[in-house]
This record gives sequence, structure tokens and C-alpha cells, in this order.
Amino acid sequence: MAEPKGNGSAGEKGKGLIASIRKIDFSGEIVSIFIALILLCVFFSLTSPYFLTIKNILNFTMNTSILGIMAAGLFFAMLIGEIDVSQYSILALSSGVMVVLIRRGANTGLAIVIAIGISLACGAINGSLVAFLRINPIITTLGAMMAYRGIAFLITEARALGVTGKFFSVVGSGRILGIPVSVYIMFGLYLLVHVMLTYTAHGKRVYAVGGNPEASYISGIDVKMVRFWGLVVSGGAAGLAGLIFVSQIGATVPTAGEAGLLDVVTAVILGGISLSGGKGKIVGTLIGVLILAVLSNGMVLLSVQSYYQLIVKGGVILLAVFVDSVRGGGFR
Amino acid sequence: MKTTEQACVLEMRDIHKSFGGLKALDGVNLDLRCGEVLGLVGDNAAGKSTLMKILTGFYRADKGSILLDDSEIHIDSPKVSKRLGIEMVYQNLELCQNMNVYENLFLGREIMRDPVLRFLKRKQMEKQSIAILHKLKIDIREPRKRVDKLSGGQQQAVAIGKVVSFDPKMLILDEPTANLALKEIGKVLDIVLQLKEHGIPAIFISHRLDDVFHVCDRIFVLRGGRRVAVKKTSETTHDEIVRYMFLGSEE
Repeated sequence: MAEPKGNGSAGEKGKGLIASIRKIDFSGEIVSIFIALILLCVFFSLTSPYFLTIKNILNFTMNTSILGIMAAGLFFAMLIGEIDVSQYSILALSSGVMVVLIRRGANTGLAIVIAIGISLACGAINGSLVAFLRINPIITTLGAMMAYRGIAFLITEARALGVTGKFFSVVGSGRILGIPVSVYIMFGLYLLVHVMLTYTAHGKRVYAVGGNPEASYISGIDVKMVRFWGLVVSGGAAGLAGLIFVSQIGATVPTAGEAGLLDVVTAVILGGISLSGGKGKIVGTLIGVLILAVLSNGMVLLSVQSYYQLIVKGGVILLAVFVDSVRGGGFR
Repeated sequence: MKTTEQACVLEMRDIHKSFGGLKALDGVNLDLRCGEVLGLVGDNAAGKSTLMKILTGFYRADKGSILLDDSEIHIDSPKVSKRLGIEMVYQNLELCQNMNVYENLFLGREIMRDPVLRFLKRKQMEKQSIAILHKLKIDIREPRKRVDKLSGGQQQAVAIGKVVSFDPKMLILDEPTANLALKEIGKVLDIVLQLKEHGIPAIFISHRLDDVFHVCDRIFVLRGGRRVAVKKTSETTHDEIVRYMFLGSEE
């Protein structure tokens, strides 16, 4: 959007602001999904007296941070036109390794570094298979999902393993100005991704590869490496989410995320990303995450039976995919 | 304006290329002179694309040599071709529709503040985009406009502007007027003439002989993987070129 020119008198600034507001495309996906989020909030605040309480809002935003962090990573992969369904397994594996190491006497910092390293390595394996061997990303990450989950079970001997420590209690339940630390981490990550995608050549190349890989290749971009790094980032985000998970639960669980396998994908799709890649904003993903969180929280508050919750979430995915296909997206 | 009688920028000598048993190119010799626009015409499967893909590094010739400014060159990838200053505007391939004009113009060669974090100098890229578009008299005033909001002719103009901005030694324009409305075709041809005025030699591939006669100094006809004629535009006719394309050779 064009910035106002001139030496910036108040009047000119005001005109610039109005001009900027006028340039916002109110028919765009971001505005549409934001309106959907507001409508959901209005609905649940009218139907449940607990929904709009500070305690509830802080609770569900804290619970959302794991989903939100993974969604930020998956957004990268999907923006390039790939997908990653192995994130929860990477979370289980990396957090499992971290807790086992700590329980065996390893330094907490070192264990965290190793865990994040493992999540990046898992992403690198996915990325290598998808980018260099051109194996279908759904098949690749489905296979990886099972393999990583299996290793997580092996490492933890299929048990939930507890861990304690100052670091985990600060990250898991600490608050700054009343807001959970994990929420700061999530918002910080989104800000970082936004800056990277909007203001750096790395970000522009991610959009370019997602939008037109042939044109990107002709323009001298290493398309394979961009695809590779997209899945590495997705894996790394799962590792970071694993750290938050262990901090919040106080334990690693090898079955982590099995119930909500496609929640992350749903959130990113809801955020308006094009399934064929190249189109989407990270702020949309954040709104998608919040929509899913509000929906889950609202249904729990209304005591909706879990079976119905699944049906509603499934319906939301289908609706989002339908909207994307109407817009001309869809997997290539 | 420079004349077509000047020295060769590019020479392709005795180029052969086969795919299995199929001979796509059979000893083709092509030269491109300073400042000229050379029309490359031929029926489907005449070998035009294969010849240009050898020049841009997508294929390797089985036999033959390529000289750029009298020095022999070996092009084994599109990157090498670009590095040597050979730029091609591909048909329907060049632009990212999800990005704006200046992002497309600088894609892969962004102006950055630093080499690690690679923060963009967006203002500078915008300014330079305007200068590039202005130089070629391309009528797009808003470099932040998304490419998919432009007309077909404007998109083609941006694609040409993109490769010109890299200061190429020579250009290859692959069917730049295909799928355009008549008014848009005129605009694209004007840009090609602008390139000629700026002394940038170009190979102009097209099925539209009207366009070829409008902008080219010479016309090179391929048929069945062989050079069948090279004619000065001023010394030939549509009918003669069509005869060479579909019926036979003079060489």
C-alpha cells in the first residue's frame, strides 16, 4: 500500500490514513475470516456467560499457543504448496527425547537444544524427500508421522514421563502482565514470520515458489532449497510447540496430538491459505487458529458432546476447502 | 540505430540434437547481429524451441558450438546462460501472478540491505522499477499493483521489462504476442522496437508473420530441424516465408 508523501502535516497524515483504510480490500479473505471470528465470539458470548470472562479467554489463548506455534510453521510449508501432517509426531518425539535426557541427568538447556535439533532434523528428512526426491508431501509426511510416533513410543517406553524445573514452570504457567508466557512466545513467532515474509527476500521467494515454481526457477531461485527449508521450518515449529507442551503439561506424552491430528492443517486452511500455494497471510493463520480455539472452547462451554464437536470441526474444514476451491486453489 | 550489417553477437554453428531416434536439429547455423531483431519462424516441430532451449541451457547439443562475442561458450544450465547475459521471455511462464510488479521485476535479484537476513530495499526497488518501465515506455504507473490485475499485454511488458532490467547481452522472445488482443499486440511490438532502439539484439519467435515483419530485420526459417532460409525482411514477402516454412528449402 502506498505510503503518504509530503512533509507530514496533521491534515496530510489524516488523509493518508483515510486513503490507506480505503485501500483495504474488505472483500478479502482476511477481513472475511476476521468477521467470522467476531461472529463466533458474539454467538458464544450470548450463549455462555463464561465465554467472555478474562479467566476463560486467558485459558483458551494459553491452550491455543501449541496449536498456534505449529500452525505458523505449517503455514510456511503450505505457502510453498506442500503440506506436513507429521507435526504432532515430531512434537511427541522431540519432547520425548528432551524429557528422557533430563530425567537421565542431562542439563536442561542442552536437552532443549537437542530436542529442537531433532525436530529440525525430522523436518529436514521430510524436506529432503519432498524437495529433492519429489515424493508427494502427503504420503511423505503420513509415513513420517507414523515413523516418528513409533520412535517416540520407543524412547518413552510408551509412558507419560514427568519433568519439573524452573524453566518449564516459567514457560508453562508463568505470566507477564497477566498474560501467559506461552502466548507471548506465540505472538512473537507470528510477528517474526510476518516480518520475514513481508520485508525480506527469503519471504518473497517463499511466495514466488508457491505461486509459480517454474518462474522462480527461471529467475535463478533454488526452488528445491526453498521447498526443503519450508518443511524444516514446519518441523522446527513442532519442536518449539513440544517445549511449550512439556512446560504446560509437566510431562511428555507419546500419544500427544493423536486426537487432534488435523487441527493444525484446519487452522491454516481456515486462515485463508491457498491449497495450491503462493497465497495467504500469516495474520490469516493466526485468525484461523483463534477461530478453531473459540469454536472448541465455546462448544465445551455449551457442553456439546465430543462427537458433535468432531462433526462441526470436519464441517468447518470442508467449508474452508470448498471456499478455497471456489477461489481457484486446490492441490496441484 | 545500429544496422544489421554489424558483427555477430551470437553464432550457433552446426548444432545437432536428437531425442532417441528423432532428429530435432540437424546441423543448424544461426547468427545474431548487433542491435538486430531476428525473427525465428517455422511450423510446429520445426526445432525452434529445441534450438532456443540449447541456447538457454535446458538442453545440451549433441554436436556443434556456440560463440558469444567471438568466444566459444558452454551452456550447461539456465543459470550459466543467464550469467552470460542470454535472457529469455518465456511464453506464460515468466511471472508470479501472486506478486506485484516490482517484486516480479526483481525476483531472484532483489536489492537487499544485508546478505544474511536479506531485508529488502523496497523503496529503491520500486523507484528502479518505475525507471525500467519508463525506459521501455511501458504504461504501468503503480509498481505495487499485483500482476494478475494487469492485462495480458501489460503482463508481457513486465516480463520483457524484467529481463531487460538485467542488462542482457541478448534476448529471446518466445511468442510474446500469443494470446493477446490486437491493441495489446501493438503495445508489445512497440516495446520490442524500443529494445532495438536501445541496441539490444533479440531473437523473436512467433507464428504471427505480421508481427515478425513489423519488428524483425531478418527472418530465419527452420523446417524439420534444418535451416531452410535466412532472409532480410525488406527483401522478402509473407508468401515466400510461408513457402519456406511449409514446402521447402533454398539451402
